[in-house]
Formats: sequence, structure tokens, C-alpha cells
Amino acid sequence: MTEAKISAYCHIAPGKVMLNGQLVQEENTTVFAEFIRLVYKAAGMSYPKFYKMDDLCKLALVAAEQLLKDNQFLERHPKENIGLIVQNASATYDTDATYQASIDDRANYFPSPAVFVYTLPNIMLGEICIKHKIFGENALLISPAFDAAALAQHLDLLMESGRITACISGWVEQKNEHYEAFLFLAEKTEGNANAAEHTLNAETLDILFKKHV
Amino acid sequence: MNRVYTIADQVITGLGTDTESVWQHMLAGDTGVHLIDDQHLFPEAFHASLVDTNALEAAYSNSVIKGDFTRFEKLCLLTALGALQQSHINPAAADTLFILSSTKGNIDLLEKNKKNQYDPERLFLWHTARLITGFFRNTNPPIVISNACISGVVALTTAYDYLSKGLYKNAVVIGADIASEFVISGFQSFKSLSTGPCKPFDLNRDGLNLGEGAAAIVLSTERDQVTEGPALEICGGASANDANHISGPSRTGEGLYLAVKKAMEVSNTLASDVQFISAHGTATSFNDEMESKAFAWAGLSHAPLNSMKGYFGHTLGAAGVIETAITLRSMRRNILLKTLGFAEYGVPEPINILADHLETETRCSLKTASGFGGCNAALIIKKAQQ
Repeated sequence: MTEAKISAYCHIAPGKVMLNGQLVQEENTTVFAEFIRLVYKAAGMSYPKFYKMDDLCKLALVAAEQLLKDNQFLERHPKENIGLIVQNASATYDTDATYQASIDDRANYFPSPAVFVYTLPNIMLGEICIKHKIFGENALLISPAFDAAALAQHLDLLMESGRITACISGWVEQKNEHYEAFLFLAEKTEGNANAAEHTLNAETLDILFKKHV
Repeated sequence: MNRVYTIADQVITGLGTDTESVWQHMLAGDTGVHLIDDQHLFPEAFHASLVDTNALEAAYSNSVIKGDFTRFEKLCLLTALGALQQSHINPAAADTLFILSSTKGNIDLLEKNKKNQYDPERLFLWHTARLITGFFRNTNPPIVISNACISGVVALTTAYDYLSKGLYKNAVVIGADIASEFVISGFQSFKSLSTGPCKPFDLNRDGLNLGEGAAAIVLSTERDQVTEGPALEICGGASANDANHISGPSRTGEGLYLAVKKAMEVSNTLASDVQFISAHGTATSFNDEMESKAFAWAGLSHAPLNSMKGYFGHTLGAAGVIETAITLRSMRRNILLKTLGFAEYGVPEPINILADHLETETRCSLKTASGFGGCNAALIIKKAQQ
């Protein structure tokens, strides 16, 4: 195993944002469209492209922002050595349904490229890469539920091969009214570990994943 | 590090339902791309390469597979079974891993008339992967990669990562995507479809042809599993994002350049070692331009290069597996295939586009892919040392 640490982690669940296990934002609304705007604003983001994105990308982008905004992570690693490896179960189910509805009726047939492009689950990786100028490995893995063992294994193999030294990784799932993000920063350790960090392995990931209210 | 050998493969495209038929048609310069006039798929006629339904159903009923499977599931099961039957690998063994790559899987099940025919879970790729491992009685959790058009190359790279580190002995890598109303209308809405058969890297290229297809490649760390010589090895790969635009490639080729550079580094390959490039070459204006820049930047202008899209279209998440399987055949038979549809040089940087078949021995090949979301991937394949 390559020694790597989880240097920060974030959960977004209906109405709540948690950073490193601490509640940092709580809203009365759990309705995605309202809630995600409040999270976007609270994070001090000014990124007009956000409003064009589908819900899955919005969720992934604001989760990544929580991790990166007060962190030197992007300065610590060459941008081509930072990977984006994310799991999800339903791919882009909601956007797929929206797109399908636009072509179901030949009398009312309006396929839109602006919707179609969001019917690929890896677009959320692309959106994070574009915003933060990250050039590393990309993989979108489909799993019926968050799979800590598979994810830890995948990251370990990438780090051991030398293709990445750091990674933005986790689980971003959105379907119907349900949404849930758990993203974390993983970094190869070069003796700069501090007490707040967790070793990257399946057990730690499982514990951190469940650490939300 | 274990070596990772290619053991067997099976390809289904518009050119045939087994690798050898597809290969023979490619050698003859045939194309599976035809004008399709099917109101169910798209209101206007368009050019695409579709798997022949009668041939698919014949292959299915001649197989041992029984059950109510969708078109996508049949493609996955038939290619995996076809490849495994040519090998001595036990698919149920604890040291055999299954990897599935696809962009949209069973997306046609969202259509009004199919919606209520199947369990809603059938839509999800994790379900397809478990259906496949269930069929082969394999109890390992399968890996599913859904990363747009680089899915297949990433799946093979991932298989290499797991096998070379000794986590499994064998892997069955499957790539599949069907032609659906969903995908065809989407690419048409982007105005990326060609008005005729596509012309990769050509001056007059005007877009891509979609293709339907699937392939499975069986890999093993045990050289004595190799049944057809010369032995070929997957030597590792890499992916990279170009951080530029979600629906257009970088203008500089940086993402693809980085993926190629890293794939060469991890496989101890020099630019001068690369003797063939199976490029992505979708025949859209921006993609092919970007690829020429990336390959020239990586010092690969010398290497004979083709795009296989003119033969069976752009098979999306399956493309990496299908085109790697054909590359393996090229390396075994010592014939590099021409870029069907290419006539007049039409990209800004110097690359060595194959305009005719070339008989030559190839010891080292590069396979690449690029896709929506700014993703790029590269994989190195070599002839094994004697």
C-alpha cells in the first residue's frame, strides 16, 4: 500500500453541509434547487457557469469547493498529478429522464445539446477540472452503493503507479429528490502529516462516509 | 509487477458478430456505415453503423445464454462468452475480475414503450455488471467505468493496474453501447453527425458516424494461457483531463498529450518505440485537429496511425475495447489497416495517417481515446519478449 492521507472531507446531505465532520451550514429547505443556491452563495462562489449545470454537477462542484476554498491542496500538487475518481449509482438518471421527455413526443420534439451533454456522469469530473484547472486521471465508477474498499483500492493503484500524487475522490449521487455527496482530498504523504489527517484505507473511508448527521 | 497478456477477444459491430468476420471485412475495405432510415431512431435518415439484428439474434439463439435480456445485455453477454470460450480461463474463479465499460448502457429502457417492460433497476450499469457476473457465476464485485468515450480505454488500463499488481490473475474487460433514439438525437442536436460516411483526418471531414457495438478482451498474468501467438501484452495506460470545455476538445491537445506521455512513462516506452497509433479520429473538425497537435507534441509524428471509425462508426464507451481488439489482430497478422474515408490531409500538425493498408511488423502500439467532459486516455500494447 502507498501511504496516503485524507486531508479533508465533506458531506452534503439534504439541508446540511459538513466539513471534516463538523456542521458548517444548515438550511430550513431541503429542496435541491433552493438549498444548492444557498450553499453556492455561502461558499462565496462567483461562477456563472454554475447556473447552466445539471443538479449532479452543481452538487459535485459545491462539494469540491468546500474542500478547496481554504486549503492549499491545489498548490501542493502539480495539476497533472491530481486525479478525480468518483463513484455514483444512478449515473445521470434525472437528466436522462429530462432529455428523454424532450424526444418522447414527435409532435413536441426538442432535443437540446445543453441538456444532452449532462447525460454523462463524468461531466461532473470535467466541471471540477475546468474550474480548478486540474489535468490528472479521471474515472467515474458506477457502484450500487458507496464502496469504500473498491475506491481505496483504485486510489492506491493509481498512486502506486505514480500517475497521481493526490486526488479529489468520493461519492456523488443524485436521483429524484434524493441527493448526497461525500468528497475527500487524498494525498500521498511526504512527512507532512498532521494530527487532523486520516490514513487512506477502506476502514477509514467507511467511518468518514458515515460521519454525518 | 506481473506481465499482463491478451488471451482472447470477441467483437460485434455492424461488420459482423465475431472478431475474425469484422477483421476480414476491414481488410476488404468494407464499411458497416450505411444510410439508416428508421423513424423510431431518428425522424430523418442518417449515416450510422448498426449491429444487424438478425445476425445478433442468430448468435444469441445459437449460444448457451437463455433468458429475457435486452439488446445491450445480449451484446455484453455474447462478447464475454465468445471471448471466454476461446480461452481456458475459468470465469467463475475467485481470481477472475469482470470490468464493464459503457456510456449509456440500457438507455433505451427509458423510452415510453419500454419503460414498464423491465425492472427500473435494469437502467443502471451496476445492475448490468451484476447480471454478467451472475451469468458467469463470478462472485467478485465487478468494476464499472462510465467515463464517456474513454470508458473502454480506462477499463483496459484499470484491468492492467489490478492484474499487474497481482490482485487478480485474469480479467474479462467488456465494452458495449447500443444505438438509441436518445444518443442519436443528442449527437444530432450537437450537429456532430456527418452528412455521409465519416472522413477521419480528412480535409473535408464534417462530423462523425455513430456506431453500435461491443467487445470483450480476456487478459491474464499467465503466459501459458496465450492460445494464439505471438503473445501480446497490455503494458499500462493513463488518463488526463484537458480542463477546457465539457463538450469540446482542448485547442492545444494538452489533455491527450499528457495521457500519452504518462502512458509511455508507466510502460517504459519511448516515442521512437511506438510503431502504430490506433487513434480516436472521430472525424469531427475539432477532435481530429486536437489529436494531430497532441501526437506531434508527443514526438509521434513518425508512427503510422489510423482511425477505425470509417469501418464501424464511433462506438462510444465500447470504442476502446473494440479498437484494441482489432489492434491486437493487426499486430498478430502484421497488417496495419488504412483509415477508411481518409483521402486528403486535413489536420494542422504532421502525423502519419495510413491511407492504405500497410504490411509491417508492429512491436509496440498506442491506443487513444478522447471524450466529452474533457477526458483523454492512452494505452500501450506490446509484443511480448520471446
